[in-house]
Amino acid sequence: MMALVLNRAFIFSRCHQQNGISILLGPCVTGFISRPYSTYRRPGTKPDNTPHWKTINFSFQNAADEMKKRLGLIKKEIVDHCKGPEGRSFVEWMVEQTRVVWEFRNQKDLDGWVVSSDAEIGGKSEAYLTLGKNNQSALLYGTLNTDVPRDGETRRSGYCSMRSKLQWGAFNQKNFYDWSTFNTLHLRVRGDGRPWMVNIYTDPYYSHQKDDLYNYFMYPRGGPYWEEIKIPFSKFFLSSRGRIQDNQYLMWLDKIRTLGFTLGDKADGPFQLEIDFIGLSKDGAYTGEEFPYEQYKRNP
Amino acid sequence: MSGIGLLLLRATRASLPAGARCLRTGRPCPAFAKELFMGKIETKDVFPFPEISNEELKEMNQFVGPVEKFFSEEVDSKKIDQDAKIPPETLNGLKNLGLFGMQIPEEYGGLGLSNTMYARLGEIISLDGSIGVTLAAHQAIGLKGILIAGTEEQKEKYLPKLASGEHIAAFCLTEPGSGSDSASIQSRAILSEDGKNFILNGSKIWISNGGIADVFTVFARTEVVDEDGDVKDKITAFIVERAFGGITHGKPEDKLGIRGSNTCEVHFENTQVPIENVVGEVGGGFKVAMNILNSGRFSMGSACAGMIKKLIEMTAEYACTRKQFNKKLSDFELIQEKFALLAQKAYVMESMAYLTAGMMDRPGVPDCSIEAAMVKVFSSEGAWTCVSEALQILGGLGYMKDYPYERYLRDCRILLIFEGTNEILRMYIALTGMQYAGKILTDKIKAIKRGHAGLALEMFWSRFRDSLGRKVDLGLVGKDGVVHSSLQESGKKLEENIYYFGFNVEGLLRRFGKTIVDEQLILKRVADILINLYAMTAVISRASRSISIGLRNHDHEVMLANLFCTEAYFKNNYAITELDKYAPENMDESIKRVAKQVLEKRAYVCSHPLERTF
Amino acid sequence: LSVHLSQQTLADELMPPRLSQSEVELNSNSNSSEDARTKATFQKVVEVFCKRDIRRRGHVEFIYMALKKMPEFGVEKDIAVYNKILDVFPKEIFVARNFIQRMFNHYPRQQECAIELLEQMESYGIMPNNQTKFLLLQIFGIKSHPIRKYQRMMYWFPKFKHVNPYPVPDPLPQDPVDLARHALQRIAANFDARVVVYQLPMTELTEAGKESDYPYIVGIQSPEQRSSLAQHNPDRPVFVEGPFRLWLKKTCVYYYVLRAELLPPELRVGKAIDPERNFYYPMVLDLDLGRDRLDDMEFDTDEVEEGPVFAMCMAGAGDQVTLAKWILGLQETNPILSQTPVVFRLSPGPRELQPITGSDDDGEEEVFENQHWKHEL
Repeated sequence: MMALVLNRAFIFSRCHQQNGISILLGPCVTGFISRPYSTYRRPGTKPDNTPHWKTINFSFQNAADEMKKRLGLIKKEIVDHCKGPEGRSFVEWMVEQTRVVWEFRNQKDLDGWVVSSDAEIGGKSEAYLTLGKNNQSALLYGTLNTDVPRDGETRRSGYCSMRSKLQWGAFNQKNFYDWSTFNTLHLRVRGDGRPWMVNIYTDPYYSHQKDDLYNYFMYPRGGPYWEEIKIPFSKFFLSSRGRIQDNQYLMWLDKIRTLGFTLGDKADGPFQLEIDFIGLSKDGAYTGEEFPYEQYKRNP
Repeated sequence: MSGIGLLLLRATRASLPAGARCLRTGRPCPAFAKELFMGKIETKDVFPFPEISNEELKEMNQFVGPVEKFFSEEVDSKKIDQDAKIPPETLNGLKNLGLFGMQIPEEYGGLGLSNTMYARLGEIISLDGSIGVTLAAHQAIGLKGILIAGTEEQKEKYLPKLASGEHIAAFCLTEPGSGSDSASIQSRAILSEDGKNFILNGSKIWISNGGIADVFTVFARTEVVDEDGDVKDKITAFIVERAFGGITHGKPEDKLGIRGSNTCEVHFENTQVPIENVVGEVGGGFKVAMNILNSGRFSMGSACAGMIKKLIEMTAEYACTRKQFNKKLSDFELIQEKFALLAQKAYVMESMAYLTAGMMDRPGVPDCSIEAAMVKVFSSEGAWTCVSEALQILGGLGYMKDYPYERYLRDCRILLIFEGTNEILRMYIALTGMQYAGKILTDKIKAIKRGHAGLALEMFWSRFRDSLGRKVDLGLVGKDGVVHSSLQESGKKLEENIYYFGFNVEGLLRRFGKTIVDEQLILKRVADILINLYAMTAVISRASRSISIGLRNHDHEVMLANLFCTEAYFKNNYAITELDKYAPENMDESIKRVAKQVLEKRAYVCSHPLERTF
Repeated sequence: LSVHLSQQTLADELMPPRLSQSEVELNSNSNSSEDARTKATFQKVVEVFCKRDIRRRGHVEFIYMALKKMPEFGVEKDIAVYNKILDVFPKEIFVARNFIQRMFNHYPRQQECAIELLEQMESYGIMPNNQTKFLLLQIFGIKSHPIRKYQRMMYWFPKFKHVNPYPVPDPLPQDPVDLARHALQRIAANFDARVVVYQLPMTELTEAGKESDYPYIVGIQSPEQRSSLAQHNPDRPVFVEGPFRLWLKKTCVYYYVLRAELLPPELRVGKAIDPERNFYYPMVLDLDLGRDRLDDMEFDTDEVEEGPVFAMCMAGAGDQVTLAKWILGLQETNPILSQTPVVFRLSPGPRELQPITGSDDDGEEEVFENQHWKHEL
């Protein structure tokens, strides 16, 4: 359950490179997948050696659309900044004790999430995301298949995951979630007894930390009743590319970019997870626990 | 012999001028405890300590003499405890002394004692727990219904026999599924076809005097038609005589303490109850039950005080004679500490009980239910700790059945449970006060929530002054203060506590509003603080009076008062800090979480200390 | 942890021909005796290899092969077998003796092989024991990669061993009735729920010579469910829904649910508390004040509401006949079921899950009265 090849899911969002292409030229350009974010090459495929200038599609139509979109985002940002942190009033920010971050009531909510499985590396699992009964919850379902793809490189296979999309501000700036006033993640789910893993990606400043994820386990009980699972943020442990790191740090809650769920419990067969909402709360009883993973020197 | 004593008493009473006993001074009793919730103290209610006139005092002393003699000579508590039965001679003696009708007015044949005198006699009666409980079940709850809410015919029919003790009364409310929940009462009373009788069916458990009683106050469900025409099930109170037939009772329960009192199940099968025997109105049984329960509680204070005073005598005798290491036990400081505790608690209980009794005796319709509840909570818990300590002083001897201490301990344990468990009474005290304060403060709190600038500034300014060490002046101490100058320190502490308490009550109402009903941990602290405040007031008031009129040993009283007030002051301060949401002393969330996890698994959750994972 | 080179996979494929042949020989020898792929045979193979050559040539490839073959012999969860495989390494040769050897990867192939062994232990969730540590120390010395991996395993494994709040017993009960009982108690989430076995599995031969299979039926119901069923309005139907999946480690079981639809808002009974409820203290305060924002721990969203669940069951077969028997069995404790119409909403068998849509016409649906079934069965 611990050694998973997770970072494959990054490929999905077509991200534009931060630096390199100037801001003005950026909108005109499509079809440019930036190198740092997609280094995966499926074994057995030829390396992609097309020169940079061939991959650019230049079109003014695109430019107009993109400029409109970005100016809209700038305006929204300025207005939100005047209203208060993250677009809500300051008093509300100070006073609120719980917050609902993701709800699944319509298709637009589902669009903010991305579903992936090991089909990218050649495996046979499938995963789909739809709205649940009465449009009141999200249903993530599919089949897990641990058959290893025969490309000579992959050793293990069989995972599915769902992740919220990265948020972008105007002109492709990174937008973070700021959850520093809370200390517990509150999930209302109904699973089928399979153990899931919750991943939080806090986009770091340095690019060599780009694979670091904070993980923790989520064990729904299964059965017809909805369950509320509360995970305090201090329990999340750091891992990079699927391997737990030796030096563990407390997660910084003010630079969170995505949240994700992963399933990889080596059991072949169909799976299902229904999520009602994902929220945050402040748990009074956990103020004492700073960090549960000891910090003594590990590699003397 | 005791019959002659009773005749003498009646004679003395009759010799007094007719209006003398009815004269009382003082204002009608307003809401003293409820004003404490607002951070104010109505000094006119409690200062000076309520007194009784000289004639009354003389009369009471004449009552007390024969009763004490009876209890010390003719009551064998050990035998009562062993046989689990009160012998009929003892019961007859009690009847002759008139103790079965202490609060019944004289025109119906009772003694017609005021609350204060009832409390005074309670001090002596409590020396034997079983007798005390039998009498209390008979008078304080059994026939109170008829006294408070009965019609003239009912009173004339039943009270004379009850007063003389020929019939004994019992109070039937508890059922197997219902302790304090009126919705789970299963007993039913259906109107018969001719409309003249109710047919009563049901069973009640744990009824004191159930086996020996002849008159029962029974609560059952009846169908009542509302003004809107809806048919609802409401509770009604009935007076049921054993002669109506269909009443059976089970065998007496084998209890831990008060074994002489008869407690058993009572079953009603198609008992015919005439309509005239409904107490109050049909469907109004809830209010009758509440009034009965609220009025019988205050006598527990003086009962416990009397018991502790007797215990002090017995244990002091022992401590001063037994020698270890060539020193008497009473020379060791730990033993001395225990005696100080016993004396202090007895003093506080007495003061609170008589203050409440005095407030209730004032003319008008006194509503001292909160004060009575506070007296009950404090006295029951105090009695339990004190008897435990007294047994401890005696060491191994206290544990033996030859000595009465273990019997006192067992009899005391029920005090925390019956007449409303202490937890429920704390809820009652806190919620009634919150309701009162809430009604008055609603507008102010709404204005603050809306963000009214002037109010916010005022609050900020007063907080600022408090933090700089402001002096609270509620009229207790100082030049025109009502408290005597030797008790200045205690008075100041009391004032400070009251002020901060009022402040915090407002904060709590602002934080929770209506939903404070569910926050029982917070309400418990509020109730504890209030009980301490009331105790401090009672003690300071009584000590001031003692010095002012120069009662014997008033210095001792002042010391006890100061001792208690200091302790209570610190406890109150700690409780007030715990009420604050972000205080580190406030462990409510953790407590609730721990309890939830233990109750989920219904077992102790931690792994054994010897377990390994690898 | 070190990065795995892709050379290991080559090692799997390119083994010295002599060794692979001997492996195959040994394996085929064991194949000759019936059902001999057991722990004893596996250990015998390892011993044969160790005894054959004092210098243990080709031990790395042998270990890789052994690790690959472990699931076939059924010993992949046995720590003793792993220790035995680890024993194949020659001792004290690969221990780094000075700082240069420590700095550079000393005997990298062997170290990676040992890491691969530990990795397989990790993926099956087996905790290494003292003997593993002793062996690793003897073989590689304290400043080596396998020991580092072992230390990491010993740090993280105990922390995550008991992190599951609903642990599944290991090994799972084999008997389907016991498994069903355990699974039902797990999902009922209520200590008071009682498990009732309505039918034990058996096959009967009727007179006509036909075999009829009676699958097992195990049901569960808690007292709260029973009382809410007793209050259910008999005019509204109750639904038998299923089969729903429940996974216990690697086993998938299916359960069925008896539930009712949520009442539309008009028909819901209000839950106002009667002010005359409690004899001792007021349960409702007559104030016009609400809770302050700072203390409001409620979430700002409407939670999903679904109809109440009345009972659950697990059955050997998912057809209407079996489930009807379950309903009949439930009727004994819930007499109201005899008057309530029961609708079966069964999905067409345990296959790929079809997303449950708001409309209710997937699968068969039949409305019938229970008395009719009583005559039939």
